[in-house]
Formats: sequence, structure tokens, C-alpha cells
Amino acid sequence: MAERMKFAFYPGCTVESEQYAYEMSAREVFQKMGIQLVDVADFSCCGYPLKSFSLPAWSYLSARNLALAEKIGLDILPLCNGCNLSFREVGSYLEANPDLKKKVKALLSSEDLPFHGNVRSWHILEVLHNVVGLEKIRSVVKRSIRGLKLATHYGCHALRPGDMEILDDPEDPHYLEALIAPLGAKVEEYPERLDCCGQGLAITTGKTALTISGAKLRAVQDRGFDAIITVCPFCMKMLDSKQNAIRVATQQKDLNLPVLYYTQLLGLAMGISAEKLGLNLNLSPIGEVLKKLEGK
Amino acid sequence: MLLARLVSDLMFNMKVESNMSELGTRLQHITGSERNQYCHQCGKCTSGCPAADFFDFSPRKIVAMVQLGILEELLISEVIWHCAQCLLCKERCPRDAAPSDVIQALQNLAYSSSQFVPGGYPALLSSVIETGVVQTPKRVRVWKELPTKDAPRRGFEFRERLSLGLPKLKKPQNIQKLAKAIQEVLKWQKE
Repeated sequence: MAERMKFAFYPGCTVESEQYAYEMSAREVFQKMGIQLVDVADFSCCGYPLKSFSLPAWSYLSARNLALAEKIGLDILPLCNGCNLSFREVGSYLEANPDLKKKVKALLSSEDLPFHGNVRSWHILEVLHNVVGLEKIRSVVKRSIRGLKLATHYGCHALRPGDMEILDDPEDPHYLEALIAPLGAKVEEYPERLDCCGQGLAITTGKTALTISGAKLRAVQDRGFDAIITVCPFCMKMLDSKQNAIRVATQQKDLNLPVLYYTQLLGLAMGISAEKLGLNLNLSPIGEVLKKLEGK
Repeated sequence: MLLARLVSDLMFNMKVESNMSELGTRLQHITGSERNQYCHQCGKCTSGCPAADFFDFSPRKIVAMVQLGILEELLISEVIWHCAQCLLCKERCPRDAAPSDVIQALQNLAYSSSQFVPGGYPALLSSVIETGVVQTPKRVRVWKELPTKDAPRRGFEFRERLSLGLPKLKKPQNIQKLAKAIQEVLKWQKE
């Protein structure tokens, strides 16, 4: 267990180039939990964005980052669902494609990056739920977050494919709910809980992506939730950063739903300042959430 | 009963034929499995598909076309780019046929045969080749004041990662080496 308390930290392109609040809040809470995050020189894109047109380019880039982590003997902790899936899947993909595996390994060796596949990638919810543990989470809560009814949004690639065994159950997951409960907030399941945010379509057809996100926000808001809690930077980008664009594109002027990262919610409960958690970077109306907390 | 048998024989023969086509072989090579042949057209994939609500898009039909060896038509159709890769079809498929993998393999084949990819993909590839990442740090909108109980948010400013207290990124030092490697890998795909 001891060596698991230190990870090669992989925020991922989207987090480190624009979803800064996730990186800020994750660094804050993990440090206070006693988890050491090691920044690794030379990490590159995980390859996922190239997967649609080049599985070889994806597998090379994914294996390359794993090889860098292997070099320092640490498992990887990505913040992004897509990056984690990339690292989780590449081993079995290369197993099924032995010719490609041979070529990728040879290319990496020529770059002094031998790849054996002996480190793994952890989803942030796995680390919080299985490594840190609910007892520890309960013990660091200084300010109970009561009076909020929260909806969870995992993001597709935190759950699927199920044979990667990323979380507990791809069709009925509970890690995020279990991690919110000790903070004092009420968390309820809802029929649209596992629905996709649509981001996967943003690159080819932006309007459809906004429409799919709009349907998710509509459902959550109409069910009377105070906020959505997520762990995926791409879902956050759709549901929070693009909420105004969704409001316009889908002609739903009354959409007004706070969206937070789980690390931000946890940080608030731990008594970390809102500034340090990057809450002034959220573009959805999180004032409503902060208002309720202040109002206690 | 007889008709069902006839259809099944016909499907089987066509499958064998599609297996022999070069594109079919390459597709199977990319997915690394023959699982798409297991599909029995139950339609669970399309019933849960988020893209099917918005486009004339059906993972079930795409898999059927692949089984029948109708590949050229799919490769030049924009329909294969309507998949969000949410992987719900792969998860729910009772035959383990993984429609999302089949669609991704078709996209890969389309790229290696025509070098065409739609939307923002070419820019992503250029960025990874030039910088090692899909996007370098941007200045983002940050509210000047946190919203409080009574005061609504007033105004915003643009900030970048260093000014938010985040460490400087350590990105690939030898970017030329990485670029060369990616170009090499892209060549394998055409072989």
C-alpha cells in the first residue's frame, strides 16, 4: 500500500491547458490526503484524440507515457477519463495486435523508453475510494455540506468498457455516490445518470454535442437537483464551460445549473478556500451552491 | 423455417466472401478480433446510442453492412463519423461484437485510404506533432470575485496557469524526436 501513495501525476492536455480548476483542486486535496503527486518531465498527449483515425498513433503515444512512468517505477494517476482509458486499454489492444506491439516496443526502445507494461493507470475515483478510502475522507471533513441535493455525472469512459474494470459496476456505479455521502450532502440517483454529455461529437458536429449536453442539464435541473458533480474534464467543459452556449443553441433560457468537480466539493468540505479550489473558474452559477453553504 | 435457413445460409456465404475481401481482412486486423461476425442484429446497440437520436445513424446497420462486406460505401460516408465513442453499444452487446470498435476501425481505414478526417482532427494531429500535446495552455476566463450570498458575480479577467499558482509544464524536450516517431507510426497504417 505504501508505494501506492505516490503516483506519476498526469493531468492530461485539457486539464493542464484550460480546465485549471481541476488541477488546482486535485493538487490541494491529494496533498492534504497524504498522496504524493509526482510531475513527470516529457509526458505527452495520451493519444486518445488521435484514436479515431489512427489506432497505431494512439497506441504509440499511450505506451510512450506508460514507459515514462515505468522508468520511475510509479503507477499513473490521470485526471481525465479519456487518458485513463487510453492507458488502461493499450495493453490489451497491443496483445490482440502482436505485429503492432512489436513495432511499438521497438520504436520506444530506440528512444530509450523500454515498455513492459508493468505499471498501471488508476482512475481518480479508484484512488479516492480504494486507496484513500471512505474512512479517511470522513476524517478530513471539517465542514459538513448539508442542504444540497446533488446529481452525479461519471462520464462514459469512467465506466466503459466494463471489462477494463475501472469502477465498481459500469451499468450501476456507486463510487462517486459513496464518496459524496461522507461530506454530508444528499446524493440521489436519477434515470439520466449515465447518459453521455455528447462531447465525443464536438469535434465533428458541435451543435449536436451541445444538444446532447442540453438534454442532460435539462433533466437534472427539472428533477430539482442543486448541482452536478463530475470527475471528467471533458464533461465539465460541456456542462459547465459551455453551459451558456448550450442555453443559446438549445433555446433553453432558463438553464441555470451549478456544476463542480468532485475535488472542488471535497475541498470545500475539507475547509480549503474557494480560491485555492479554482471555484472562480467555474462558469456555471456555482454562487447558488456557495450561497447555501454560507447560509447554514 | 426454411426461409430462415435460407437467409442464414446466404448470410454465412456472404460473410465468407467478405472475410476474403482485402478491406474486410484489414478491418479485422485493426479490431484485432472477429467479434463483429457474432452480431445477430438484436438492436440493443442502436436503442441506447446517443447519436442515433440526432442522425440517421445505426450501429446495428453499420455492423450488418460490415458483415455483408459493404465496406467501400461506408468508408466514404460521413455516417461513420457520427459516433461519439461513448461505448454504450460495446457494453450492452450480448454477442460481444463491439460496434464502437468496428466504427473506429472503419474511421481508421477511411483515414489510411484517403487521408481524410473531418472536423477538428487534422488540427489535433498537427498540434501533437508540433508540441506533443493537443493544446498548449490557454488564457481562461476567471471571475474577479467569487459569488457570495448577496452580491452576484461582477466581471471577469483572463488568467493563465502560472498566475493561478500552477507549476510550469514540463513538456517533451526533444519534440523533433517525438514528431518523427509519430510520422513513422502513421506510415505503418498505410502498409
